[in-house]
Amino acid sequence: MDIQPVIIYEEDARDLAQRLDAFLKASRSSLVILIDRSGQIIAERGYSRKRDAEELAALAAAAFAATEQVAKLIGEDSFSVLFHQGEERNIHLSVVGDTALMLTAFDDRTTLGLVRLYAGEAAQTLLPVVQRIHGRSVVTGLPDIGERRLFGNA
Amino acid sequence: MASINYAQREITCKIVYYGCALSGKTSNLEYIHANVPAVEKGGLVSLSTQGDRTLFFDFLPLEVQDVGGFTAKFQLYTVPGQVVYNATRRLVLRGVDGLVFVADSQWSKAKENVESFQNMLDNLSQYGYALESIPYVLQYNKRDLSPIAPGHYLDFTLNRRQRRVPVFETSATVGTGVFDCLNAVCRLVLAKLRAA
Repeated sequence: MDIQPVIIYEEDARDLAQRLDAFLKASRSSLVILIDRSGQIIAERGYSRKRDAEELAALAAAAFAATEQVAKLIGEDSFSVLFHQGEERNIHLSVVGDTALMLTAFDDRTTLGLVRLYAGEAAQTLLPVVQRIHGRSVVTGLPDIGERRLFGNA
Repeated sequence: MASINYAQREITCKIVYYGCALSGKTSNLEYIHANVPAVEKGGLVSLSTQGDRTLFFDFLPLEVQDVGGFTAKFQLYTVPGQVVYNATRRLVLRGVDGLVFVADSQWSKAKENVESFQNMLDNLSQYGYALESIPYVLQYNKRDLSPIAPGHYLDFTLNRRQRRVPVFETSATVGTGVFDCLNAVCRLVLAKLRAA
């Protein structure tokens, strides 16, 4: 089986941003990252330092994948939600279909219940866009780098 | 799973360093992290045991600006080499775009290399992936040690599939060949994406 890339065009990015912004506002969360199950960022809204978001995405996808295996060991298909509670900040992780995860960071300006409620609704609105970007296979306009060395030229 | 974001002009790919225990996968990432300019890298995240053995994975995000009008991002992962961690090893392979198989060149590791390669094939198949459709290179590491198997012997055991792949003789702790290997797998991954 060939692994198909995720392909995001302008209209997809706009649709995702609108939906994620609406979720952030309704849930009063500070950050939301839509993550492919392999750990890559699909879209991100709210505040984070760029590199932090990449690490968050990789670690969250791994944590979710590990927990999924734990679920199977006790006879569950999967856990649909993961929640990590901190003293000031919390992380809520939930599924968007079979291919994506939604990571939400929030603090005491909101509640877990509110985040869970709106995360469920957001997953429904995000799903068609997530399915759209995963369903494409034609790639155009990518660069031909030939024999160029991308790293280690210093 | 690669993502191509035309809105942000970004290409993101996942590259996994696979191989038997103590073959030098983490050393590859450590050398790369130490020798790539700050603007091209994020932090090196290591999920390891107290004894510094990889428990889940290491993760290093890299990026290069202006690759034909795109920013090319490569997320490097290692797997834990110890046999007992197969479940977590398999998880890291999810959505892999390119592989570096890191073989330990020492004679005493010949059997472990072959078993690890077979384990990689088995774990890929769990996702329905076939090695034939994934860009990969072989790295014969620890060439600075002795006694080591000659390259042609390692070719005989590891590079005898229908598709012969590029081979790099390396000493990851001092960096010999590490960037050659990284650049090669990045080129193969981008070429595969272009051909999609």
